[in-house]
Amino acid sequence: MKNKHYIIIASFLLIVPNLFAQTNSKSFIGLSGGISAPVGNYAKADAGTFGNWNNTSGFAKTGYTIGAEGAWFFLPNIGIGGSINYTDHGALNSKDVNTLATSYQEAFDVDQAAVSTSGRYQSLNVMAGPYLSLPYKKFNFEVRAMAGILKSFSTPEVDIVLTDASINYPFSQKSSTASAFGWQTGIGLRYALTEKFSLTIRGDYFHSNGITIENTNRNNSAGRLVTNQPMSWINGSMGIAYSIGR
Amino acid sequence: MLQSKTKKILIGIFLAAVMIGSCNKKESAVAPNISNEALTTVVLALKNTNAPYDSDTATWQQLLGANGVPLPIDTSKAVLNLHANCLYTAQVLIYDKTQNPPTDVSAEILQRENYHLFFFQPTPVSPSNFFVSDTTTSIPGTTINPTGPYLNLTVKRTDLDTNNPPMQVGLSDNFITGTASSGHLRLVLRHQPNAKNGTYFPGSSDLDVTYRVSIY
Repeated sequence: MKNKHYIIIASFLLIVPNLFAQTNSKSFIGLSGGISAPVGNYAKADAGTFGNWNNTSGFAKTGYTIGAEGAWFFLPNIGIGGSINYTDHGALNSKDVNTLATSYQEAFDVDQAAVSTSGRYQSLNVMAGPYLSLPYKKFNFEVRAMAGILKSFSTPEVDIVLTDASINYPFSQKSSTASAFGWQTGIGLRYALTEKFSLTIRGDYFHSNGITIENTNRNNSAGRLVTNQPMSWINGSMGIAYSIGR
Repeated sequence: MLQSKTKKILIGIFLAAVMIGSCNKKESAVAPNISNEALTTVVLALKNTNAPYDSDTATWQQLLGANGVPLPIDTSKAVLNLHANCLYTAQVLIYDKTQNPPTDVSAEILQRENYHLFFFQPTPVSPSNFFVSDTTTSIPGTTINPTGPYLNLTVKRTDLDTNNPPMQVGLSDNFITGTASSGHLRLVLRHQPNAKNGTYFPGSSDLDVTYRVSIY
């Protein structure tokens, strides 16, 4: 059964490019930008319920991505490529902060919980991996799978002050600048505007198991506590590519 | 020509991205407590480990009248009669009798054990039996009687919470009696949100009640 799958995949890689390939794919470099939509736990705006707190929901918002990419084709349709992308997934809004404040008040059974946030999700990812490019007339249909490093520039900081019997108990979830492994896969289309320039349209899915989040002054195991923030998103981007070589 | 246009577009995208990214609006919110239980009734339920038929309960109670006004404290049943030189297992049971049916608040305290801690102070207490630490039940500030006679009772917590490392709670305890004596037992429940460290001082008191104790 496993062998059957390998044969199908190998056939796809060998035969399908030949159906399209009247010419070799051109190596290229390019710039792109577009929408980046968080998915999964990263996108969830949920603090959980008493005894079942959600420690991985990210409250991330749809934002944008800008970056550069390139690929070098060492075979007619198969090459290796890389990308570097800056991504912003926004900040927590007033509804999110209310959700968190209510959850901490309930978790610690205090007179009140005050939550304030600052900062945004901002990160850079540097990825590399194989490209499959299928040229057809002025179009190049591309599939890529890459892996690399996610570097966080900032995550929202969350400062909590519990107040009970007029005594304050402050603690914080700090902004993270940690790095983590990530992978990305996607499809794209390049349309040749001129001999050298092409318009690119891409859709990519990115996932990282998460970056480390530091917390200060958390003394007791109670309430939502984020120590690792998984990150997943879907990018839809457009850009310009410049063909290099012949 | 196209290169120039492309440059302008890309510079525009980059500037827009930087401007959006630099928007760093702060948000804040305050969530008040909507409701709170009334801890009207505190029961100590003891069982002699060597003689299971030897059990005793003591009940401290303060119910609420009309409009939530507290009624006088009822200590008529807040009395423990224990045999000398015995080991008793004890459970602290707390109820909110303003609810119908009464709510078992001790079950809720068990759910919230990571920031609750019970203290037990027998009095009169001798200097040699008064230890303030992160594992003892003594209440700081208790008047120590240098001469006696003393209430010969020692209380040790036997349950642990789920903090890391675990700390004592005090819903389950051992009461160890010495020779015949009498006095009082003060029970205090400390609420220590994100501040529990085993000692008495962080937090505030949810409960502060006293029982009469007779060891015979």
